[in-house]
Amino acid sequence: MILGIGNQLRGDDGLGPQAALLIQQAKPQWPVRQLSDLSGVLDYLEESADLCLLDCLQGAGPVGSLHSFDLLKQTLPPIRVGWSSHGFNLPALLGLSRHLGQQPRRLLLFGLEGACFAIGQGLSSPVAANLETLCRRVITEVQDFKPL
Amino acid sequence: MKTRQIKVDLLARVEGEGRLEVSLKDNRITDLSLHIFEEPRYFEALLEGREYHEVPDMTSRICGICPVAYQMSSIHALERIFGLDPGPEVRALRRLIYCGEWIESHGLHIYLLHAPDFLGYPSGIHLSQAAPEVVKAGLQLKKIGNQIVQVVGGREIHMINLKVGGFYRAPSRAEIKALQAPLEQAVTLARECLAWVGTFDIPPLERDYHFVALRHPSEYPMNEGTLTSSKGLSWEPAAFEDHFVESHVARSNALHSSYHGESYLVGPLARYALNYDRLGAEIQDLARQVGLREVCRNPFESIKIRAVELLFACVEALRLVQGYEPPPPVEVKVKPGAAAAITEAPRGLLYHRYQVSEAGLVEKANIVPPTSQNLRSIEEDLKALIESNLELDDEPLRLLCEQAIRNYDPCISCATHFLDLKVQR
Repeated sequence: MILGIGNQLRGDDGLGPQAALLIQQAKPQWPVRQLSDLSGVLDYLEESADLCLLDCLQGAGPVGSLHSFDLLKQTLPPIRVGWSSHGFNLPALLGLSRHLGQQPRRLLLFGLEGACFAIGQGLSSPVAANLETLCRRVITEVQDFKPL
Repeated sequence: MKTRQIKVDLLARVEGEGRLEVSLKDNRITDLSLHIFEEPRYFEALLEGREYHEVPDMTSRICGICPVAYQMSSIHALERIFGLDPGPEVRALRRLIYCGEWIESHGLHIYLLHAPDFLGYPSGIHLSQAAPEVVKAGLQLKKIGNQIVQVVGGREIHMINLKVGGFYRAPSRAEIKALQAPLEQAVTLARECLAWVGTFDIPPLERDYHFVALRHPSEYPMNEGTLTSSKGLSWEPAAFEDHFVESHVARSNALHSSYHGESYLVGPLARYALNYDRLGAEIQDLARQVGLREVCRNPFESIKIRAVELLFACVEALRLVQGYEPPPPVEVKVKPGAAAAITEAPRGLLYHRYQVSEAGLVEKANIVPPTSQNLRSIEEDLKALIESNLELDDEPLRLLCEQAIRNYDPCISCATHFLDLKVQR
């Protein structure tokens, strides 16, 4: 399962859903979903054996740079609350899934460093320029994912 | 002279962004302000000039937690303008999807946002470490609520299947029947939830609220009813703006609503107090078992009342699933005019009023969300709470204030909209 997370009305935060859409158009063997609500990821953490999250990043490197994390092996730094509904964020969600014993077999995160998260549609130029590279990398990296 | 300042810079476990500031001098409150700094969203201005059939999809975007409520209030108001009654099958299916929203919204708030306050945990994440099975039950309830919204509305959030006149596509009998087993599980989980919150220690506080909620001739209210008040007053939705007025205060991007200049309360406490007799004998009995009276004036008891309503919504959804009949298509004939409608969002009354042209274009829109209506009450609760807990140190007092704000399950993003957008150049 590939989940693209983000709000397409907040600039680069729309990266996740846009990447998910591009990957979906390549007709992969895995289901692909767009999620605007991070808490929705919990349902898939429970059900998916292999899960790949796509999200825009901040603080990972130069704008537009591509980063990947194996979330079952690496720990994300804590994020201050208040950036999303009810203060949910990815590290908090992963903590919840760990406490509930609902972790998938594999859990990967791919993203690009974002530049602008203000209200408005469209990705910034450096992020848009690397969108296809991100999608190609994701498709390559999840080849061994177990199909549902 | 002794001065104290209590500050909560960023309210956690509420939807949207706000800040609380309290100043005390010689144990007297000199300033108490709930600052709402979430950006204003201008939804009413966005609606003007749009075609009537776009309105439900646009208003659902106001909130990711209660989009059903926004679609329902807008659809009812527009149907009232067109003189359209879509019939009992549509009515039942709308009540079913509203139950779904109550289940997912109340489930999320009780388990992950509010219960940690009563049990001494800083967050739902910490609660999940200490009591994973409890949190799993809460998430399962939320998931079942989402499932209902998905099946009836086409999506879990910002549904695409609701329209003026009914539904774009009627769910099949098999799709609705598939909800029966999850809902039977939900009824069991919701009973356990009520028993669980019944064990919580409730901080003492009594407030003399003016409750306002819908009241229906035979049902616990969701989509329909007369506007009713604990002062014995009653109005049709069209009279709402004659009595309830929104005004701007400098500290808030959310308007403050008042009843002839005074605060009033909407939401679970008000609905319960004004509709206790509509809950049915079994749920009334369970409410009594957890110490609830027919009218509760302690805002901290709202978590128990949400659990009562969660159980009611599960039982009601199961009844509606068992009696499902697919609604027939309904023809919509556009007529010019203006009308208002009110429905009961999980957080309380949601008022919509529209004026539509002969061509079906929106000429005027007004939306009054529940959190705007409760902001005055929240500030009054905080004042009363602080005055009766002055002996507490700053940190426990701050935590108690945050817990009191979460009594309202406030949706700040819903509330931050301005009636008019005026640009001066």
